[in-house]
Amino acid sequence: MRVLLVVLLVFGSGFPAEAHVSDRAFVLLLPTHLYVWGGALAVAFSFAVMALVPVAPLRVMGRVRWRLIRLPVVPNIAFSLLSLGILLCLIIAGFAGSRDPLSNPLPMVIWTLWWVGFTLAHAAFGNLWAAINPWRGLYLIVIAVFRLDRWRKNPLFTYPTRLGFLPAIILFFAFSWFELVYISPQDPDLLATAVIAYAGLTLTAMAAFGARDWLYYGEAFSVFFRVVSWLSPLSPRPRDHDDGDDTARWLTLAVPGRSLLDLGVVRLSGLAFIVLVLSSVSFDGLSRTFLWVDLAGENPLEFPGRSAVVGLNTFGLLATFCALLTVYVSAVLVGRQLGGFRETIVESLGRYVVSIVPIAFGYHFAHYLPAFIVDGQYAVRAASDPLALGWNLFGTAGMHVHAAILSNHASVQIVYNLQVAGIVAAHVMAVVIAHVLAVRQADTPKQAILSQIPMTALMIGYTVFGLWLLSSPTVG
Amino acid sequence: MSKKIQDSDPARGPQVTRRGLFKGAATVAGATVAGGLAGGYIPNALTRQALAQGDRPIKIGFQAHRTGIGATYGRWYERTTRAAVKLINESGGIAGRQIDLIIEDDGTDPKRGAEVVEKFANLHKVDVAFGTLFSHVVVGSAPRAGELKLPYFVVSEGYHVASGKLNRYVFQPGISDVRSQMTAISGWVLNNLGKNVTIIYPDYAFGYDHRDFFGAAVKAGGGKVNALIPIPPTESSFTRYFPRIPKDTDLLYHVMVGPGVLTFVKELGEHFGSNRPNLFGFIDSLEGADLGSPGLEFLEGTHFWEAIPRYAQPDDTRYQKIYRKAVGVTDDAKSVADAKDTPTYSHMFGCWETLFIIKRMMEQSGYRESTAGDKANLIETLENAHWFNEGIEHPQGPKQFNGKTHQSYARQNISKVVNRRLTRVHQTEIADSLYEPEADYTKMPL
Repeated sequence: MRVLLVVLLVFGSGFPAEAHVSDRAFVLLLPTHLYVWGGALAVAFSFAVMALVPVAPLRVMGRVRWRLIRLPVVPNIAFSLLSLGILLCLIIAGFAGSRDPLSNPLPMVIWTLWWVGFTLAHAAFGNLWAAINPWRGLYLIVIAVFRLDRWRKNPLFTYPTRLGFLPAIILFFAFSWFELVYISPQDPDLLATAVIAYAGLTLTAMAAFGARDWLYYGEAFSVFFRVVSWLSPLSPRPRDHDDGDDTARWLTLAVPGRSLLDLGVVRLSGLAFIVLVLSSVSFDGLSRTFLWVDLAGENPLEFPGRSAVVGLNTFGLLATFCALLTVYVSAVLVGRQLGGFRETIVESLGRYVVSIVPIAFGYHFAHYLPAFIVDGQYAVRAASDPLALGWNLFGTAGMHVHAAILSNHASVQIVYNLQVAGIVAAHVMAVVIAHVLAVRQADTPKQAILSQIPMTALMIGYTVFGLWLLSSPTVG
Repeated sequence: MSKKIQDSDPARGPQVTRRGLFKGAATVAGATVAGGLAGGYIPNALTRQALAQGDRPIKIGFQAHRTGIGATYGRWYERTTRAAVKLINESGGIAGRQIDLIIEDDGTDPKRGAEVVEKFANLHKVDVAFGTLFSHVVVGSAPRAGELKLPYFVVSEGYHVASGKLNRYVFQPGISDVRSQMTAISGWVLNNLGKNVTIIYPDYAFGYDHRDFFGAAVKAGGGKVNALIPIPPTESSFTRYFPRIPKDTDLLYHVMVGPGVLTFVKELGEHFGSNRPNLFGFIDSLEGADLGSPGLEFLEGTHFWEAIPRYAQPDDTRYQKIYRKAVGVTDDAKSVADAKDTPTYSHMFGCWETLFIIKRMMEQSGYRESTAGDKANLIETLENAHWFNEGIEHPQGPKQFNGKTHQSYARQNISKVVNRRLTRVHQTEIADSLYEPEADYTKMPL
């Protein structure tokens, strides 16, 4: 039988925006509520263990640091110049290479290998960026070419240290906004322009305030990677003083996160920076959930794209920062009341914020893992033909990208388990660090435990939030 | 209803005619199928002449969903597009000129889509733009293409082109629209799967289209709509809606999409067990998903619409086999390079077919430069086309083209899940998919 159309129909929607099976479709088949509650219990249990076991063995364990190898003496500037050369090549590729962001090496290197992968490497190997950032090389070249050596010794201005890390906070926020809210951060020539603008700003600020101060206070990524590197079990240390060789350095191995215990009190701007790092990656997860898109007044099944939510997501990025800051400050204030701490509020706030660092890293790992798995392959492919000239430098130009890892039940389950493990482990580490710090300040073990109850509640809550983000339906 | 026009001479190369000569012609020259991939496409004399002249390449701007919510589709659209461009270039290009494919990412965002169209026109100075899938990006980009007088070939499946709400520069010749798909299949579905129908659909415009149309088709076909069950878009568990399905339902028509779709199927299976009504859905819900995935066991024995069978069928044409091989898909609907990768098979062929139509129409219209005159010729030539023969260029099947609505109409397939793979049980005629045209773009100025 042929059905004849007798009514005029207006097809308003056409192709449905969510007509494909994403990784979340497979995640939703998993018993995610068990993961969420299991994760929360694991963090709570770690607090209970901390409360029950004596802290002395932890202290001993924390003090242990093994010397591994003597580091060769290589001037940092060599790495910096090499890195500057690579950055220049990438910028050229950004302008001259493929317009496809997944085929152009610039967006692949910046967003995938550097922002995601290089961050992970910092947690494993320490502060690599301090050694290989391209800014020092660029600065020295400009100084040498324009004979501005006097600026190097006497910068035009003294950095106003009362500002603390404020420039880095502003720049990191701008970076997060560009990554998470702006409609086309992957566009190769736009990204190349942004990199040049940032390099120009960094160079100018280094010339104005001196390289050392700007890289310490102002350059957002120097601050960011320094923070992440505190998690690393590896760190370079000067050799013992009695050997008479001041330049020799050893690579040492300690318990991961050990460096966080040595930081003492972080200044308030540093606190704000750390909270900003965690809040930005948290908001990226939140902004993709059906809940947020629905709150935005958009239908998550036909998400209209970033351009429709620029204003709202800008607000969301700021609001998440404010909310997290409020929650953290509240937890510390209540905790110090319960623990009867004698130090000032500012000291307490600056002391315990380091326990957020592992959480920020755990979120970074869990949040970016799926994209890293797929886009990392695109990066390898793009490297073979950076200028879209038909080259095949490394034999990977025609490589098939195994994106089905994210649309296949078995592999999605593995990825999800890794993400959950990352979130839970990060929060457990945070609980341990906060507890060790509290024991140092408290007069009695009981006070230390009492002081950590609000912070532990925050950690458990954030574990639940993080696992909920991983388990919720999302757009895309 | 248009009359089917047969290819007059399958071995003949594409016609290169002047605009005036072509006007009024009832036939678009047929496919140039003179062998398989190896034998390839035979360029005609003029093609070879142009090749010898070493003309500049034809620039085709591919507006791709590389990031954003369309990225899964974008990946297979890109693979298919590259395969088609490779074949065209290896067999002589477009009138002897190689295709230079310029991919720009629209982020699956309409505003960015319009910017990409501008870049194509003003920065890259492409000859045509092509490849957009998601409806909201098409609707957001098309006005800019019209203003910039850039021929814009979408592969979207949306009804927006044929509805007349776009403009003269927008075409959808390589894939049928969703309205024609529903028109084509409703008769068979009602007659074979049952007339007591419950429609379960997402509670927004896309779902309403299916509800309204299929509801009307049920009534026109002598059936009865037992119940309409809208599901809120934010829902991720569906169990509480299933008791509302009347017990005497013969056919459950479902059009769920989004991350909840696997959960929907799983919970539906748990609700019904082995005693269930017939199920019919659109494969759009499960594009890119392996039917062997856990939770989809319940789909065994249910029916889906497909544009082109995802799994190789015993009666596949040689063109379908050639196409399947060229885009790197196995007979079991997996990527040749990755046995876990399921293609978006019912949509991506549209990229292939559209590129061959661009080629044919450029050659037919004598297109040479990116001038207003040549573009006008190209558009009018396509508007005068009526038919594209099945062949290497059109592996999905022949297309009937309506120059007024800028839309192609095609045969549709209904497949049944048997042993966790789709087996075609019915193929419609093109005539089944036709509806009264509502637009005439040819009246708009160029």
